[in-house]
Amino acid sequence: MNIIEDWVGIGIPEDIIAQACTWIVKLDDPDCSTETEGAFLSWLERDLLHQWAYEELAELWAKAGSIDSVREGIAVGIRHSSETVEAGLRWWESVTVIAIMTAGVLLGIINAST
Amino acid sequence: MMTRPRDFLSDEAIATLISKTRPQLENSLLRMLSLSDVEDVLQDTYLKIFLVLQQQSIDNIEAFTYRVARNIAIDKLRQYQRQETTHRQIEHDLQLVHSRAESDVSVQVHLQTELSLAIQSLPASCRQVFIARRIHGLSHKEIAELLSISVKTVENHLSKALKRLRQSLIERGAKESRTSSREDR
Repeated sequence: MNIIEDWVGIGIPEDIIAQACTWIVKLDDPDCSTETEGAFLSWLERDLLHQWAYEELAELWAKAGSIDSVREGIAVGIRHSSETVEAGLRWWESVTVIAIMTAGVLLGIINAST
Repeated sequence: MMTRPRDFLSDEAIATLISKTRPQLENSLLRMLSLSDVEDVLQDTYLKIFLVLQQQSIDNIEAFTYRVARNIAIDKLRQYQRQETTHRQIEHDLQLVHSRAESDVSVQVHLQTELSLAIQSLPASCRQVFIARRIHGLSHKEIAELLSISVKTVENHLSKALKRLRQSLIERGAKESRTSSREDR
């Protein structure tokens, strides 16, 4: 399944898509219980559309977390975000230092004049 | 159980497969397509199964039949999504599919680009939880503790992320189709 339409659940009713998304997320949790797995299997067997939705969206879920450039792109995004945060902190640190120095000078001037 | 061509080709085997799969297929396909389209899909499905079985054995023939029907239905739905379909566009699609089949690398690059863009367009809270789970491998409980939110909220964010990724890819696919259609004119 290499064409995008093959794994986005095209034509499947939205309520079933939403249910499939919920199950994929629950099953993806390493702490998923056997009760949850059992409930999922009951849901899966109930309707052919459930099976199609699950098969296709599970592939999208797997691809979204495993393609190298996605991981690299996200890593770059994280680096950019952290750089932005660090740059922001550096700016605030500079402002704080200047403010303290200005306050010190002003206090010195006030003390000197009194 | 393996199904050999000579078994399948008997009238009895054909009747058994159709009686087992047709009602469920019909019921499911009718929720996506019109009655006449469903008839077309079913006819094409059983024809394809018949042809494939002349070439090779099929393991789990019922599951295979359901997947073939779904793929044929997807092709029909794609056709409807493209309102400006022309002969030139079909040729373009066939060339695209052909060239993609020739090069797995170009397919992967295309998918990577689409997915990267879709992930970048997720809302900040969704993206944060998605990255924590899918990239850093944290469990739902660990993410909940890290972000001081409930496990239920973590699951809601992840489910929302998956739905939005899907929607984003569908929209990009439709946009791509319209662009290629205009370029072909």
